[in-house]
Amino acid sequence: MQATQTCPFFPGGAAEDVAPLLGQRDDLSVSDRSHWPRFGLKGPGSADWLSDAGVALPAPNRLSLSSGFTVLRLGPNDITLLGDPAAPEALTALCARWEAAPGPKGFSSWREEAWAWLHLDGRALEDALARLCAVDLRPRRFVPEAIAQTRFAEVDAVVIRRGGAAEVFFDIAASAAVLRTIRHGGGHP
Amino acid sequence: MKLLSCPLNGPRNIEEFQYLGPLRGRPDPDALSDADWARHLFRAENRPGAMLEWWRHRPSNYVFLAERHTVTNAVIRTFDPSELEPGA
Amino acid sequence: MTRLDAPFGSRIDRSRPISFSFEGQRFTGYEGDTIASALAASGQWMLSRSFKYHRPRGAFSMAGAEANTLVQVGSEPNLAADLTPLAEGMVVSAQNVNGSLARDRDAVMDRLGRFMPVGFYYRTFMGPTRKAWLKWWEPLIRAKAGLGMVDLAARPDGFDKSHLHCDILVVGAGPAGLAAAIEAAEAGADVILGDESPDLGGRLTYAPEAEVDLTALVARAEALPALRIMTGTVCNGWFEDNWLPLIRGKALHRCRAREVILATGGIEQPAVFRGNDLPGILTGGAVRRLIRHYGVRPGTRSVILAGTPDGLGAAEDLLDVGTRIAALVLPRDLPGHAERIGRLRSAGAEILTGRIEAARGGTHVEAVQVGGRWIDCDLVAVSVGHAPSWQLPCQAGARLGYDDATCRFSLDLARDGLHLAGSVAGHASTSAVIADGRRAAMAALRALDIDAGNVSPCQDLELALAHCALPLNPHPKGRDFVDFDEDLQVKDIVNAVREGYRELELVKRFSTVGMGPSQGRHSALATARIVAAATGRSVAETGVTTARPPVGPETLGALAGHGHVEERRTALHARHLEAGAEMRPVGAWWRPYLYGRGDRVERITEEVRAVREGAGLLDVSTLGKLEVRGPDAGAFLDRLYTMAHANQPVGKVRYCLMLNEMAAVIDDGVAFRMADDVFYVTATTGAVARVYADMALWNAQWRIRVDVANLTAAFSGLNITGPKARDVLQALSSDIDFSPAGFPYLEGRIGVVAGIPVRVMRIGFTGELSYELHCPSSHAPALWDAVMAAGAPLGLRPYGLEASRILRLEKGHILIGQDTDALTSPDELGFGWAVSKKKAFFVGKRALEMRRRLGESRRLVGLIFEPGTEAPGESCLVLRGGEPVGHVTSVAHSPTLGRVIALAYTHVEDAAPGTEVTIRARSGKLVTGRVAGHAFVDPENRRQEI
Repeated sequence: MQATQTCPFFPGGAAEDVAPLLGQRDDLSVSDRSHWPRFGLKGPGSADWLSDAGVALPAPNRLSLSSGFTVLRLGPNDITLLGDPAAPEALTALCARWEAAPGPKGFSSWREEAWAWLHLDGRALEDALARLCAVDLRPRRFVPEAIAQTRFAEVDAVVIRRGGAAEVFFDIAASAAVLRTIRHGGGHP
Repeated sequence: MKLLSCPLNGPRNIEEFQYLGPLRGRPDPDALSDADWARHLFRAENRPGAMLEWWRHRPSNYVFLAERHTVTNAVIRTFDPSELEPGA
Repeated sequence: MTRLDAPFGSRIDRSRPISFSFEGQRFTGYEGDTIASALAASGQWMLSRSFKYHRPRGAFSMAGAEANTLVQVGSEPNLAADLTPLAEGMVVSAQNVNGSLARDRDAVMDRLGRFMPVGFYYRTFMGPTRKAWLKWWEPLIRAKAGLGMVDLAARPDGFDKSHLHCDILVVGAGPAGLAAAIEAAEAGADVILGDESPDLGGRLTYAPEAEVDLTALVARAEALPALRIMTGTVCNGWFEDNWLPLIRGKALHRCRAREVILATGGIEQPAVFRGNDLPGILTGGAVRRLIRHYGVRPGTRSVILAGTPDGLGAAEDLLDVGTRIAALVLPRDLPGHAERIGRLRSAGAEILTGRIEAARGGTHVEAVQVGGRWIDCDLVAVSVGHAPSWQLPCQAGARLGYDDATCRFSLDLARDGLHLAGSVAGHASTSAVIADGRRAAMAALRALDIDAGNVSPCQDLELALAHCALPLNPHPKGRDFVDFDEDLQVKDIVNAVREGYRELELVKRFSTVGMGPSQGRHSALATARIVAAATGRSVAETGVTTARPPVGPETLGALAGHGHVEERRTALHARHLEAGAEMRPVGAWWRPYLYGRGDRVERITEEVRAVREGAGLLDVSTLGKLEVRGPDAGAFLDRLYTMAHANQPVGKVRYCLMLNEMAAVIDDGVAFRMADDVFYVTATTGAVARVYADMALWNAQWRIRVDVANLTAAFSGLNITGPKARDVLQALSSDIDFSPAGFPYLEGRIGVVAGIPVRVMRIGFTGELSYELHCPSSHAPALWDAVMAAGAPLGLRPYGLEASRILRLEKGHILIGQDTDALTSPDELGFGWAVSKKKAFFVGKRALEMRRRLGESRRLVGLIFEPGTEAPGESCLVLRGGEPVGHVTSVAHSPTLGRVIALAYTHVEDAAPGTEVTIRARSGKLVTGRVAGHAFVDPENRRQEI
């Protein structure tokens, strides 16, 4: 993230007034990852270019762990790579390679700008997920490589589970409403 | 709530979907008379029985086809538009 | 006090007394009591007055089956006193009383009943005029039909909504449901067992049987990790594909089950005789519930109507707790039970054959008449059998049948994923019910591809005596109630049939039978029998009325949940607040309406003037932003929009007009060709979701090489507009040449402004020199800050939505959806210029050609009004020769012109500038507007193109 960038829950962001709700409960921690690196390609040529670049692609609506990032396959030609700010190198390198590459190479899906990204964890997680989402997200039903493109906290969202936690990606303009719904609809402390 | 099985996302509550109307023939606009084109636009057959319909899974913006029985409301099958037989 | 010692009172905790009030009087109960059980323990049996005749009513089923027990608790009306757990400090009051429960002034209604025959409301209100209804009848009925008071100040706090998933949902935790749940969970299925009672076991909790160890069964269930037990939970409906609402207190759980086992048991039926509604007359099951659940001795001297062996069980329990049995009334032989009857006789019960003909009493039963003789008593227990709880099965498509030989109602449910188990499936003895529960579980397991054994059917020894259909002849003096909720007697149903309403659904509508809160639990089957007899048909042919969700009452709060409000904010939200914006919702978006405090008109006028004279800054981030890309992107836009885009040069911006297939205008925007294969297309704020969906649908049909990304939230837009807009931009660091020659009107550039990546389009909505800067939303606050800082010395100020609407109206720009309707064609807008004449195809082209041949009848024009004229409102009619020919679509006072201006549809022959048009203003007065050209300000477009 550059110094000039502001995410919704940052000071000066669109949802700054709601941001105190992030750290409010110890049985359900909600952390904002909207500023974490990610890179998405969409449209004709996306899957081919990524395969040629050595990224192993899972089946649609599945995720896989690659070296340095997680690959979300949202559709045949709709792929988002999730990076980690602690080790962003692999993703940064791939982005740079894509920028420099001639077409056809797909088109940016702008997920880093379009999506807010929240990470949910804690004792009350399963209970909260059942309140917020109609899809059965319990680990016994929702396999680790599963992706749910569904409704979450009353908005369209992508939901994945990594390491027991849940991560949701949704319309960044709805950040304030979603966090409020997570807090008010995700169970009463 | 009814479940609809999306070819991309699997079975989901029908509230995740948008109904986009029946699959209609696409006649050549220039080959039809005004009256026939008006008929094409405004008159639906609405015959009871199995019907092919367009549906969209909103969260993934995926458009697909469903064959649904308009009397029983049973969904017989759903499939990607690429599987549509030519001429259907 | 009539409280009994343990083991009676399995649900109450005598160490935890609870005090509460009823009708202003203080009472004490115990933790675990319901309101009704605690009141009964204190001798307070009357809970309400009936709906029509204001007769005294008390608990009848102790299972929430009737409206008799509806009370108001604090601000919440219509709670069933026999189900609602007691809580400390509860303030309970009776409903439907005029004065007090004990001295209800409307009790006189009971004697006036003959003036309100069946169908009274139906007949009376077919006639009256609307005026009479509003003035006289409605207030009267509202006052009389007291079903509690709604507290308008109540806040919907604490409601909760959640989803549940399971392999098998078992509804009902009686012997069948419990057995089914254990069987299924032990086989490895993920099971939910729900029951409205606070404990497991159903009838075994109040009618125990020696051969079933309920404690062990419950312990076994509770030890199963795969079994989720939800007591105190009402399953209130069945919806398609096994979607069932489970309501527990204020929480609504929407459960999706792969298989459902309905073990909902039966509803104990009333006996119909004169005065059968008096407090103190209870079902046998209710008597046993009071004794065993709540440790309440329900009377001192009782009469038992034992149409089934259940009545003997009630009598035995009463003897155990020291209630005298004055008489045991047997309407028929109970073969196999002679020994039990003998023991009751030895204990002092008089054994009578026949039936109860009538009961009498003031606010409590005092005597019943059997064979013409009156027998004093303060408690009557009636056991005439159960009807299967048909609501959920019938919602799921079950058919109800009736066997005349056994007087038994049966349910036939043939639907994948659904199973009936236990007494709802027609079994009576506990062993048969348990065996049937296991059978249902095995069937469900097999459907889930889980190995399951087989259970051999069990002989059902009690089935033959489980149902007793007493005659339903009207008592000559009436008050033999079929429907307690609606105060309907046998003769009312008979008279409804005589009126010609032979079909049950019509009988229901005419008489209101089954329409009350108990939804026919006690009345439906008796009604079916009466109608069948009166019409000479079988009961099965007559059937029951359609069962629809909800099974029982549910609060709107539970359906609403926590009250989510859809809300979207632009990335600049905090900047607007900081700048003093008054934010208003526009659809789901929050937008600045204006900035600053003080007189609104003044603020808005200042904002308009700033744009006309200096420079203004508008957040246009809510605009739809679609990136259309791929080798066929140009061809795709050519098909969707009316102008030509395939040949649009890179770097150019073109207007986009979208029609539907009927050639009605549905959206507009601009398309900036950023590369050969990439267009950046805007759509109106309200329409972008539909345009995006439409694009997906069209391309599913056309299947050309194009991808559409919805970047509405990913990108933010800042419109810098006004004569000094260029100066503002040139004061910022940028790699873009903003000079007039370097960046002409209707062109677009990609570059960097103030270190931020931007897409800039020279377009505008105000008629002034305008640049629209779009940037990735995370950069928008920084871009705003940079633009504001650079513009401050030049007088740049932010302006809000209202100023924007005035500015666009001054320029004659339309708003799709406001200035267009479902029929508006491009020609009616004067947008012929925006329709390609060369393209072979675009959506709506064929219909547009047809409409052109039909000719135009109206035209959208600008109207200007002389000072002093009453300003017409939006939607005011445009008249021609006194006939309406169009309407006003937009109107505002123009600060620039000092006049009221409007857009309106006029007759096509009145569209020439200078024509005077007549409009009927809101006051009814006719006002005159003069047709202006397509723009009120700068019609030559000099300002925006400099």
